[in-house]
Amino acid sequence: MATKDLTVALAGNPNSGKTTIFNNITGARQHVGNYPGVTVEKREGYRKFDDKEFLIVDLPGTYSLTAHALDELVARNVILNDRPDIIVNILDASNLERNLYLAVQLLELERPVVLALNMADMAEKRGQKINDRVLSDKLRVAVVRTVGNKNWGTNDLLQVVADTANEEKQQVFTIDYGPEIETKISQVMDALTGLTEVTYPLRWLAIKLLEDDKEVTDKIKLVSGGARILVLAGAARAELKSFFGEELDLVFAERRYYFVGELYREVVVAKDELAQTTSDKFDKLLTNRILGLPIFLGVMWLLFNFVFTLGAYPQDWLADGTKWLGDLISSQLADGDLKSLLVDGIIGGVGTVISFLPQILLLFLGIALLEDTGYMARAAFVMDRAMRAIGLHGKAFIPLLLGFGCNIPSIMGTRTLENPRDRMVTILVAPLMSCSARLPIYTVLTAAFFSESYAGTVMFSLYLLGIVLAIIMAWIFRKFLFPGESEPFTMEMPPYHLPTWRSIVTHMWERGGLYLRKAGTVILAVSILVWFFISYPNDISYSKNFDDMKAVNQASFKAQVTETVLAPLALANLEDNQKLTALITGISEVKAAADKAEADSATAIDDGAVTKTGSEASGNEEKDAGVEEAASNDAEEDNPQLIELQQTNPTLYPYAMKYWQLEDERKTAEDTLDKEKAAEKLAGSYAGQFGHFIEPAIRPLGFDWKMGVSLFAGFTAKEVVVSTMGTLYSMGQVEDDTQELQTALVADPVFSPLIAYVFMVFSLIYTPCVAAMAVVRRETNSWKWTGFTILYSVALAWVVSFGVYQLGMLLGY
Amino acid sequence: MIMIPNITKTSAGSMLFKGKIEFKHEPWRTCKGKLVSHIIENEYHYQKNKGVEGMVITLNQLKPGEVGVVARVTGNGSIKSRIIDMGIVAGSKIYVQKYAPLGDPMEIKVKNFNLSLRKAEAAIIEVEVD
Repeated sequence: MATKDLTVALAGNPNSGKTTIFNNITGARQHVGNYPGVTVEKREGYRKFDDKEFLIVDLPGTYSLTAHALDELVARNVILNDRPDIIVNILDASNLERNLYLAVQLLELERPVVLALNMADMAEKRGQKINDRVLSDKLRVAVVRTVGNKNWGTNDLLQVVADTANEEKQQVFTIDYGPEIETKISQVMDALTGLTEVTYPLRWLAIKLLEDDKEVTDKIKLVSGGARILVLAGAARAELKSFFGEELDLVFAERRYYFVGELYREVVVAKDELAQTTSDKFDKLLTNRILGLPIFLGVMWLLFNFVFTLGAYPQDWLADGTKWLGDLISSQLADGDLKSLLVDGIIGGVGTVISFLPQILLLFLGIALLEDTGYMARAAFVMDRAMRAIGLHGKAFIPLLLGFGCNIPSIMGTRTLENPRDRMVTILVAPLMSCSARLPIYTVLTAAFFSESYAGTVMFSLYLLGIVLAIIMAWIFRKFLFPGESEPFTMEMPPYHLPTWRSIVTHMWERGGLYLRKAGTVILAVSILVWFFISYPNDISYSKNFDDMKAVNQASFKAQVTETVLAPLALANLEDNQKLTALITGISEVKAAADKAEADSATAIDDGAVTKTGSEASGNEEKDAGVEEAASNDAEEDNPQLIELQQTNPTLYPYAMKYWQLEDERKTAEDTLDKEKAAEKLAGSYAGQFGHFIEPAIRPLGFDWKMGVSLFAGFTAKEVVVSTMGTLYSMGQVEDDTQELQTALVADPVFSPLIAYVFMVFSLIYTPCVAAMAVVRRETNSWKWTGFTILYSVALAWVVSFGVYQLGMLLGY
Repeated sequence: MIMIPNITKTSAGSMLFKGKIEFKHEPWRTCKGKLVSHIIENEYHYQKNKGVEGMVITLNQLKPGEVGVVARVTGNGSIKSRIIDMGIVAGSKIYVQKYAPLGDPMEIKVKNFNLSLRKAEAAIIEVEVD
């Protein structure tokens, strides 16, 4: 841990290029956190320069240093309390006048300041010539030119910072506010000199007191002798107010801006300050009265496709990789709890989350691209009117839209909303955007119970329901839970610019990494927990003695083999005849390949066929499955590869085939027994018991205990709902597109199209995955609201599902 | 034409009243060691060019392409504070870029940058048009 020799705080307007310069200086040696107790990002980093360790603090970007905004308070408190050695103020050269407004306020804090004139090259291209010398002289501080996105001037800046630190104290900077105000400032300053506990600059304090700054007033109240000063300041304020006819904070602001305007005119030989720029020309199209909306929708469509269509590929690879890993470990370990924990619990649970990583990264990449080019501001601009009609803020549109992919970046994206009320409403409503993890649930159920022509409508209705509920709930929350002033929409529209790869990728990794860490740790913990609930208690009393039955199966197999295969050939063991074993291996390989081909084409079969097989299968016992397979095997006698094998050894072939058939039957019977056993074990486990326990609560929705358990398991990750259902319906591990689960669901008398739909509605609305909850906790900084989200979403889910169910029954479904 | 019938004192000590503009300015005194401020050119222009023709309306009443000079910012609270922080103070020139496709918010250009704000927020900004 390096000791810091120098602390440097970076301050500046949003969009001034401050963070780029911060990255230039600190590179990888930085970390992000939160300021204690507030959701304001704290970014710090280290840099070694000239044999000294610099601690660089990237303050929040602010336009001013009032007490009206949390960001501004945090920034000025860092400067006043932590007393960094140097403040570097990054100035956006294209915007100098407004940037200087912050600069003079920083100077009034009476800490050493160095000015970084950023992106002056662009300003000069636009015809503004800036005279650094005059600026430096007028403000009595050093000025360094930088171009952040090309990493120019960084070393110069660090050198000047180091030099300034070595100098003696700078002259204190003051703005002359005019005689009336200056008199009062002196008065208050005199009164303040008496206070020993006060370490802040006196002139600054006096000005703040005259401005009626809330935070300063609160602080002075607590100091002994403070009350007297507040009275004095109050009187001064009243006097000045009647003289000027204005609130003093406005007078101060105006005077600062007058000073800055004057300074600006001396420093810059400018073109018309209202000239149209290249960026404006782009905006003529992009925020066009007529084309603006369609273009925006087009961009959103592109974003979505980019993320989900493109992201599906790496997602599949990761899913395959996870499965491979699972199989690998499975084969290495003996059956038992450890293996189950590793494979089913950890790899199963965490694996699905990891498989979403590509889409999450692509999502963040897309957002970073939109933000860094400047388009985000235009998106909010276009959508604000519509959003406000439902009680949300324009800036909430993109975070909510993201929710359709994944609720996690959606909730994290609400950071752009500064107003806590708007933010809370958005966070509460975000889970109603149907995330992509719920899609498998919809796919399986829709495929099982609705014909293909309705499938699209059904899915669309679900998404629509989510949106409608979000609108209603947003309106309710805004009106009753968080009434009050909405965040102003006063928002800078930064000029468009071409982002650097570096900044985009940095943004992407930052947020993606957060997702991984949050999701990884929490989901890991909860997956293990759920695994535990599903696997224990171990000592279930089974309805049949499965182990015995399996042994009987095995014995009967052996007997049949001896009778039909070994005896006729006069063999003691199967291995004695090499040719026979070779033939058997050949047959199994061919059969395996044929089965796979059939399975692949089966997933492409339309639903009509599925429902048909489903109704055929209902009421049959598992033996028929073996019969069906045997039947299809006979049909495959025509398989050319098998005929080839037969011709290599016609005498042995029938015996090999018989052996294979027996073996196949044995395996199937054993599999079925295993699955039944697993289903019963699950039923008897804590999770199963829990399912039975809550069954009365979900009966009114038409659900049974199996669905209860699945929904409960879905708390960890929505994908788990389908896999749990698979286990419960004796299917073992299922992919979400297998027909077997669909068949089983249709066969279950509890299910019907209506129930299936109600189940999907419930899945849509109830609590999102635990990772999302963890993110809610982090963003709201409150267990109370996290708990509220969980409760309200379950309650809402129940109520709406109930309504849909009853309505459906009424309508005769 | 809307005339302001009362006597209003602007924050720089100028006075204006019905039909005629009269102003007196006090160059702020120079003090040793302190920086000097002058009356801002803007203010001068604003006073001089106002004339009898000047109309004072609120920003949200301007059409795209029109220019207004800020007369004052009314109200109080964080919205006003935010607007002032962005540089919209008496004397600032504002150019209206456009209104959003759905009618609200509006985009303006001031002091070399673009700002969007809702019409309700713009309504607290009184501007002079020629």
